[in-house]
Amino acid sequence: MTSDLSTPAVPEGGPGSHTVLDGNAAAGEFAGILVSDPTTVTVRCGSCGATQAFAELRAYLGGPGTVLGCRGCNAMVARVARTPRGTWLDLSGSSSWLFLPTPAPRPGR
Amino acid sequence: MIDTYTPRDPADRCGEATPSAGNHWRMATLIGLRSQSRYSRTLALRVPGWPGHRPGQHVDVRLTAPDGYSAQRSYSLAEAPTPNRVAITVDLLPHGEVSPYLVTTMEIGDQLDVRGPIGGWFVWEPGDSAIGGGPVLLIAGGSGVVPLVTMLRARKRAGDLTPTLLVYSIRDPRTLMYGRDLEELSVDPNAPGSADVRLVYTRTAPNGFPRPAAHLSAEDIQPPAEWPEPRAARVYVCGPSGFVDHATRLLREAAYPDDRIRTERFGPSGVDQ
Repeated sequence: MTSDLSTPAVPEGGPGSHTVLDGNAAAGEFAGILVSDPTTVTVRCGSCGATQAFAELRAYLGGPGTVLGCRGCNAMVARVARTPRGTWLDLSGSSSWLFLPTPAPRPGR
Repeated sequence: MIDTYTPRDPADRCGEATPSAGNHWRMATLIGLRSQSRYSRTLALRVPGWPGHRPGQHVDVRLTAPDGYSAQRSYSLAEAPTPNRVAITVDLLPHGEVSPYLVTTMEIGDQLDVRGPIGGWFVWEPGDSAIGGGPVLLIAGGSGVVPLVTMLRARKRAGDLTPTLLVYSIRDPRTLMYGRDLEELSVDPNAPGSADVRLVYTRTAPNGFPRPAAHLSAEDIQPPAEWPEPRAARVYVCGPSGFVDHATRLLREAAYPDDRIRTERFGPSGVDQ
């Protein structure tokens, strides 16, 4: 994967700033907040009720925050914004997050 | 495009409140370069404290200009896991902001910041119980081949016997990445860890190539005759968004259930579907 896209920290409206990627590309931002890897979490959309892996969510990386949308109905399900005051995490668009019981094996074996 | 970057002052390195393993920024120093194609190269970085990674994971890369402007990108990890070492393969995007620096400007000894390893979804490790005996189908569009080659190398190293096919879609012969590696991985079908490799040229095929240049088709993702199953137990698709959507459509038409398909999309790129 090579995602040559600006992150929310970068104010810009340049080429590619509105390209839709997926949750894999947003995982770094969420991994800074969540304790475990976000990509394998099953997220239920608060609007249409569809469930999908975090990795499969639509990701919008070019705006003032990292925004994740439902791949079914495109409603916003989660958002992270880093501001001088602190980091905002908005999960109001999702109804549940299912974390797998077995943590991923640690690398470096 | 910015010409010089320096890692941020370590003091403001961690905007994150509680860095756990893998999600704080580390300083990385360029220690090796290898050309992969006319438009891409692999950068090897020394990253003290890097814990190693799983095949298919990626890393966030951050460059900071002297005036404080910073830009961040994600790249798949390009080598089998090695402690304190990170390699990424970067494809030049003509109007990109970061890739021209990484592909043409950055020199040995230069530094940047990395964060990772990231992601457990787009990962294939030999012996994954959810995959069982396979088979496994890998579908790459352009530089989407990078994490898939990392998976192939890991299973080669492990001598894994899961039947595996890589379908690799590129625009023309000049955009082929990892040409020699793919040849080595596929030359002897009986060698442990060997994989089938199927090249798909979308614009221009080499002289004498049996398949005419065309976009990825249903036929291209058909399993080899010797597979024990008509469908793969797991499919990994990596490429530009449009390519991933197209490949996913083909897989659904071939009656693949969604839970066998894992995808990873990357942003606008010079590579065609």
